[in-house]
Amino acid sequence: MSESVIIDAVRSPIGMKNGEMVGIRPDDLTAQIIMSLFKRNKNIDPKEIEDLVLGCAFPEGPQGMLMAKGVSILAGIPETSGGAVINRFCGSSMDAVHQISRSIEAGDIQMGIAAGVEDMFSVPMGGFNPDFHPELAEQDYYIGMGETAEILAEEGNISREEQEHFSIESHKKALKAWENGHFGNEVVPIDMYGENIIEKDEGPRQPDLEKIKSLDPAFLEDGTITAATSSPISIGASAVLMCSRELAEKNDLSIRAFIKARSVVGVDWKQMGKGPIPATEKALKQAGMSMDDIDVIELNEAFAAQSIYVIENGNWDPSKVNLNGGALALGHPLGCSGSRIITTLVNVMEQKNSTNGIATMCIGSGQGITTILGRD
Amino acid sequence: MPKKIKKVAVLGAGVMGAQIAGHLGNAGIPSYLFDINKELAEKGKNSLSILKPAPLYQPQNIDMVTSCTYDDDLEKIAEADWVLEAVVERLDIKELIYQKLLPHLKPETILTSNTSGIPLNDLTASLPEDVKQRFMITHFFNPPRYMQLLELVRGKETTDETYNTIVEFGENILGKGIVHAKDTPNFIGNRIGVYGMMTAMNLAIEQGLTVEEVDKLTGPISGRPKSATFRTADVVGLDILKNVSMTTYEKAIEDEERDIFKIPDILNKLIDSDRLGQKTRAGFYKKNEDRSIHSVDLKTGEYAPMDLVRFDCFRIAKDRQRLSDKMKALCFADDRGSKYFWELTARTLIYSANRIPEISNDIVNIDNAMKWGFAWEAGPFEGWDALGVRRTTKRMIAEGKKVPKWVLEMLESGRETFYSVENGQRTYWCPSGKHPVKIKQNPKEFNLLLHKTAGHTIKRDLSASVNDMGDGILNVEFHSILQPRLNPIDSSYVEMVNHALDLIDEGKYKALVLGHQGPNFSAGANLNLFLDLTHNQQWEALDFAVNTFQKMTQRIRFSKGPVIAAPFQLTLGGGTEIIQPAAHRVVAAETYMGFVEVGVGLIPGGGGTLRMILNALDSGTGRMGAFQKIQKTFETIGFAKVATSADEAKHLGLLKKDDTIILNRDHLLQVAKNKALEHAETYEPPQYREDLKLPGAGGRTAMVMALKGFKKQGKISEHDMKIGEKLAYVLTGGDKAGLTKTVDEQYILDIERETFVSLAGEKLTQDRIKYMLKKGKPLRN
Repeated sequence: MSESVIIDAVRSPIGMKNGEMVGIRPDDLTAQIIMSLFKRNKNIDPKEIEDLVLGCAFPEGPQGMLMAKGVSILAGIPETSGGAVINRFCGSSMDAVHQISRSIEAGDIQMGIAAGVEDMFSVPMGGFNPDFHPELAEQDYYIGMGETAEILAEEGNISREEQEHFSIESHKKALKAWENGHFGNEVVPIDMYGENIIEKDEGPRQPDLEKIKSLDPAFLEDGTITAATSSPISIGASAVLMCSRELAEKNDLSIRAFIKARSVVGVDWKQMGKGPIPATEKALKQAGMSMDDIDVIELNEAFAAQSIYVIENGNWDPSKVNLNGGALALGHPLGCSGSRIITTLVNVMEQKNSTNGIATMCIGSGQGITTILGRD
Repeated sequence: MPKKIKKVAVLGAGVMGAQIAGHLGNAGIPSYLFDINKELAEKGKNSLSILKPAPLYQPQNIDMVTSCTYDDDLEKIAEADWVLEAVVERLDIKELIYQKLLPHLKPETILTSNTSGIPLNDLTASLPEDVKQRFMITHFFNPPRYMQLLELVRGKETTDETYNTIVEFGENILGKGIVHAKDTPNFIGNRIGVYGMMTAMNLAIEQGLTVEEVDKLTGPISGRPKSATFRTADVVGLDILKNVSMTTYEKAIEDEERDIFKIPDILNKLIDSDRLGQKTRAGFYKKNEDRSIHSVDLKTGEYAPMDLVRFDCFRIAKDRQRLSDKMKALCFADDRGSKYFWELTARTLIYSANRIPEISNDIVNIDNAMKWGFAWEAGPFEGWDALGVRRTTKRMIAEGKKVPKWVLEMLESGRETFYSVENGQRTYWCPSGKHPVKIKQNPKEFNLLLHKTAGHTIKRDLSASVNDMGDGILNVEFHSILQPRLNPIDSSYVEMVNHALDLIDEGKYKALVLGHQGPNFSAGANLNLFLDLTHNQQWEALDFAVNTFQKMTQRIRFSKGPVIAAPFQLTLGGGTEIIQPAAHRVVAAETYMGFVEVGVGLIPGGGGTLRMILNALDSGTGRMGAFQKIQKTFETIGFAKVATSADEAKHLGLLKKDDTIILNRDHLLQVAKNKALEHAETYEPPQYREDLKLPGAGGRTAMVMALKGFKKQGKISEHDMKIGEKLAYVLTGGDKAGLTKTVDEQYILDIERETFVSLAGEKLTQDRIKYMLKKGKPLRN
């Protein structure tokens, strides 16, 4: 069996509501990210890309019509390449990485791109035409994400103050990462149709404590979660270039990381935020590793309460988690986030010169997904 | 031949200049808004999205205004067909600006000033002869979107072409009421209006009435705006009031009441201590930190909590429906309130009469100025007619007041009123000619009142009438017997509409216009009626009443001849349900429309929900699916959104995109009649819809999820939730609709009606209705 490796990984800056990135088409945005992969890796011929798998949580409207193939055409990949859109909600583009990885390991393809995108401004969460099943509604399957996090906050006895502290730390780490150039090799500039160039994330900012304290609960009248402790609605894209170890060695491509294990699990959808705990246990088991072997963790911060719950109940070492900040500061463009945290993980592992790292996230509908990366 | 005005330059981006530019934008006219630097010009422009009440019909109208500076953009003056100057009231500055722009002025461009106090002769002194011919005063009232008055003053040299161009543009494009004024201090509106305010103030001090007592007597009870006397002064600004008053004092040397315009001590005291009214949060009234409001003691200048005002005359007047009866009650009682009110009224009437011919040759322009510029329900001479001219002059004379000679001459001639209407012709008394003069009817205005006096009423009922508008067009007029201001819908109205539709179905008439000239089109259904029926648990009777109304609305929709509805001002709930099924709507720009049923615990039951569904499904192109369209409708009805202009009503889906909006409300019925004739030529009633594709149970479940979220966030109550669920049930097409199924109009009407009746049976809904009837605002329960 062949091994799947990561040659390169990039992401766009993540744009916020009323920000400068609102207005770019999600397909154009993704095509720019993929083209930047080719620009950075001149020794790779686009015709070697056999498949493009693109994660997207609400693939309709501008994200519809099998966007992956459209993006492939826009990015100048020859028509001989395939394209698929994968939807696993928040885990969509981590699943895209898993799919490309599996295809390579199975020998179906030699080289492919896993990407993710979400424009939460042009396609509303829930889609344009929601049509809910009454019985599933009865079972709370369509429960709001904020409410699921409130349930975890209550179960884990996580106070509003703890959450606010966690969120502020996320912003501080992200700001510092920008300051120290830790996003330099990760984020590529986006051209807004010739009007301007966007180079930086719009989310991270110096916390305004007074404002944070003054916010009303966002989901429950007497709840603990506010806008400041929820990941913001945003737009962004990310892409991971992968191939088999043989191909990389044959063509003398430097390997930034390789896939050690993949996993998905299901959990109670009313507590979907728990997902990373069993998913990570499962992945570790598959890799024959324990948490002690792991140097760094990228945990998608859907909500501060959810992140704290996972770290505490998984007995994870908080000092290993999200060293460059997380989605609370950067934003969580649903379909983009999976390949985004894998991209960030690759960079963090290089910065820390670590051998083993984990990227994991919770998924609305009650799932968890984890990827374990290794470095040679 | 009047010239065409396509682009305007407004000089001065202050409160008036900016808002005039904004209103030009409302009328679809682009403008350049100038000021001395970019910051001020931009600030003026931006104020259009901040000021309350909103100067713009819809936010995007701001794009019609371009901010400019005298230094950088003067060459743009050459693009303007009309240059309107609204800079600070200083002659030297105005002259400087004129000199600056003269080289850029096109030879045919009209130049006008919005001055309220500087004589026209002074303004034109430095202008070349040919510009004098194109110069005049155009005096708008604040806020220009809402105040109908536009006072025009021409100079000796002003050409007819110039004057008529502005008259036409002001009336037809900007929708203003034109008053022809003379070049006298403060023209007409401010001369008489400020006299009234200063007299009210002086008399209050003299007779020992409090600020709140005066405002109680001089507010809506006497046909004046809610802000009455002192609150109006606070809104205007006490410094501005003083300036206007001083202008009259200084310039109207001959005025027999000149001393009234001297500034009383209390006003000076307030101004000197920077208590300028609303803008400084303190004036005659003071808004405290805790939101309570105190009023000033006119003697000491100190604030204190307001006293409860009780006057016998007020109590009697309150029970009267007609303004004339209210005014009589206020004037002819014998408490101190009445003594004050009579004195104020008598003096104002005499003062107005003495201003002829000084400020106007006729009484009509004076009455119009006060109605349009100060929102008086009746002008001074109309008010005098209402009180009885002979009776009041007798009392005036007995009290030693000097009644103007021409008024006595009129009575001596045997004529009892200033105005008179006979055979569809309205006349007024001409003081100089000493004889009645016919009022020339503006062909753009269809005067229903006059028309009826000429015997064109076919059937008259308690609250509505069927009138013959001529040319085969019928009219159903609304004149509620119980509440003529708000015109709540009653069975009399439904009967008259059905009668008119019978006549059309029989082929006796071509088309029908639903409209009238009262204060509001209709504020909705008669809540008292509902409450009575629910109180007695007469559910079948309630269902029958709602069904009768629904049937009428469907008859309007499927009438053989076109029905044209002409709503204006308040058009709420049932009022909206009446106009929506019409073939076309001619809507006054100032129309406040919406479904407010949720506020009283109900949903629109008289076909309004069906009509909103039809409007939503027919609106827009492509991008929005049925779910989104219905969701938008759900929000419009569920949050009881009321449009603050006809443009916004289109945006909310209350009106259709091709409905006609006109700015001049007085033109409404004539335009509606023309539309009726136009539609009648080739009219085909619409097809009954059986193809309504609605989201069904799946979409409804999604909507209810959102409602549950609101509930959990504490934004809505349990009862709100229940109403929302029921509204979603109807809007998504009940049990029969879905992505692969269609429903028809009657099905929606049936579930809409059932929902309405079932909600009416809820105690919490009944509590809401009771509260609304008692307090005039919605109860949150």
